Amino acid sequence: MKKFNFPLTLGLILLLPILVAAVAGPFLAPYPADHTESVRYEETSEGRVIVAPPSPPSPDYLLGTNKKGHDMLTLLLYGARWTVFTIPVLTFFKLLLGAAWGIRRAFRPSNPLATLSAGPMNALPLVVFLYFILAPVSNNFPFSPMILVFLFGAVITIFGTPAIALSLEAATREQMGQEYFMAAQAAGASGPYLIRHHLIPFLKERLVILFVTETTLTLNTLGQMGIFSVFLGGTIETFDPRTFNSRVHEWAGLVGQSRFNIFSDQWILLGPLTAYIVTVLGLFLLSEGLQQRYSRTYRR
Amino acid sequence: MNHKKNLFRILAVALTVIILTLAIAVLPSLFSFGRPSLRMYFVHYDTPEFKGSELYRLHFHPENFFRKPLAYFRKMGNGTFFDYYEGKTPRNFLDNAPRHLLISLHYLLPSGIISLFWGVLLSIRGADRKSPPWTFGILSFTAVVPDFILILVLQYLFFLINSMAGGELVRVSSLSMDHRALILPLFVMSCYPTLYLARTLGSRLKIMASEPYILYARAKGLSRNHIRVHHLGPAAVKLVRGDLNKLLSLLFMNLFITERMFNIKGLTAFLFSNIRQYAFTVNTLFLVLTLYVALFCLLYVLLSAASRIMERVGP
Repeated sequence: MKKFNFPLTLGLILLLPILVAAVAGPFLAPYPADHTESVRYEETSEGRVIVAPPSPPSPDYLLGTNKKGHDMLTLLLYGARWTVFTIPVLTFFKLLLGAAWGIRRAFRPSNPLATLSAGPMNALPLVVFLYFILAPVSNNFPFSPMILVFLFGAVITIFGTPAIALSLEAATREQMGQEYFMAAQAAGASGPYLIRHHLIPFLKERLVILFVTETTLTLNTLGQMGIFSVFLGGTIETFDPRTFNSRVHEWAGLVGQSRFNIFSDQWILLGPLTAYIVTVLGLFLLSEGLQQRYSRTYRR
Repeated sequence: MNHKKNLFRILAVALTVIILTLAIAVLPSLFSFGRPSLRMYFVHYDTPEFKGSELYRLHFHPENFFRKPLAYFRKMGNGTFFDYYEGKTPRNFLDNAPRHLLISLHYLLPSGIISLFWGVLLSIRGADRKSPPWTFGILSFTAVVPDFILILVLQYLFFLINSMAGGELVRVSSLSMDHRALILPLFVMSCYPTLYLARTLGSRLKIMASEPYILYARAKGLSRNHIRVHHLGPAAVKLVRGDLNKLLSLLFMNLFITERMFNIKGLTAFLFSNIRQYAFTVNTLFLVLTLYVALFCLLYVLLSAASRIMERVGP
C-alpha cells in the first residue's frame, strides 16, 4: 500500500493558492494597483468622524490599508507574480550554471572550488554584495524593473553557483564510481552520451530538491535585502517623510517596507508576513516531501 | 619546509583577500544613472511611473576596477586615506571606527561563545540517544526560516509582553548608542549557529557514537557521562574547530541583519552609511575582515583549551 506523503501534500496545498494568486492576481484584486483609500467622514455612535488611512481590516479592505491608503490585499495580489515567477526563474539559471560547472569539474578536475568560499571572505554575506551593487541605483530607478531583476539574478548566480557546483561535483563523482558507468566509459561512450543516459537520470531527483531549497534561499536573500530597503525591481523613495516602498510590490519587499509596523498598525505587516511565511513553509514541505518520495522509490 | 609552505599559503590568502576587498569596494560605483550619454553599455527603458526619464541612461563603469584602487593607493601615499565625509562634515576613520567595532564585538563574542557552548552540549547529549523523528524535521525547518522573520516575530511577541506588563521587560529596539537592545539580539545571533551545530555536529557524533572505541568503552562499564566528556566531547570540539569558518560566516550574516533590525549602530550601520566613498568602504571592509580573523583565532584558542580540559579532568 502506498504510504501517504504528508509533507508533499501539505506543501502543495499551501503553494497552490499562491500560484493562483500569481497567475490571476490582477484579475482577483478587488481594486486597481494605484487605488488609494480616500479620506472621508463616517457616521458612528459618537457622531461624525473623519476616517483616514491606514485603516484596519474591514469588509471593504480585507487586509486593511497602509499609510498611503493602498489596499494590502491588492498589493499582495499584484506583487505575487514577481515573487512566484521571478525567483524560480533566477534560481533555475543559477542551478543550470552550477550543474554544468559541477559536472564539468567532475569530468575534468581543476583547482579546488572550496578555496573560493573559505577564509575571511566568509565575513561578508551575500547581502553586502547585493547592497553594494543595487543600493546606489535601486532608489527611484527610472528604467524597467527587469534590469534590476537581471542585476540581482547576476549577483546571486555569481556568488551562489560555486556552492551548487561543489555539491553536484561530489554527486557526479559518486555516480562515476559506479560499475555501470565505468563499463559504459570503457566501452567508449562519449561524454555527452554518459551525461544524458547515465548521469542526468540519477541526478534529476537531487536537482529537483536542490531547485526547491535554492528557491527558498533566494527568497530569503530577497527578504534580507528588503530589510535594507533594497527591493527586487526597485525602490520608490519619498522625502518628507522619508519612506522606501517596493516598486513592484514583491512580497519580500512588502515585508521589508512595513517592518516598522510591528509597533503600530500591525495589519500592514501581517498580510505580507503571512504570505511570505506560508511560501517559505510550502517550499520547505515540498522539498521534504520530495525527499521522502525519492527515498521511498529507491528503497523499493 | 612545512613552515615555508604554511607561510606561503597565508601570504597567498592575505593577498587574495586584499585584492577581493579592493574589488568589492568598487561595486557601489559600478553602475550609475543620470546624465544622457553616448557611452551606453545597457539598454535603457522608460516606464510610465517616471515620466521625463527618457533622457536618462544607465551607465556601467568597469574602468573603476582600476581607477578606484589606484586613487586609494595615491591617498595612501599622501596620508589622506583615512579621511571621509559624513554629509559635508569631514571625519577621520580612526576616530569613529573603533566605537562601531566595539559595539559589533560586544554582540559577536558573547553570541559566538554561547552558540559554541550550547551547540556542542546539545549535539553531545543527542549523540548517544535515539531522538524522535520530528526533531530532525524541526531542525531542518529552522535552517530555512530566515533570521529577519525570527526577529520580527520575537519583536512582536515581546512588544505584546511589554505592553501587557506595562514596562520594558525586554528591549525590542535600540533608541540610542547607550540604550541598546541586548537580550533579543544575542538570542537571535546565537540561535542560528547553535541550531546549525546541533544539526550537523549531532548527526556526525551519532555516527561516532557507534564506533568501536566508544562501544568498547561502554562495554568496559564506563559511565555515559565519562564517555561524553572524555570521548565524544574532545571529538565534538575538534569537529567544530574544523567547521569554525562556517560557524563564523553564520554569525556575521546574522550580525548584519540583527544590527539593522534592532537599530544597533555597529559596523553594519557604519559600513552602509558611506558606500559611495571608496577609501572609507575599503577601510571598513578591512576592519570587518580583521574582526573575523581575530574572532576566528580567539574561538580557536578557546576550543583548544576546552578540548585539553575535557581530556584531562575527570567527570
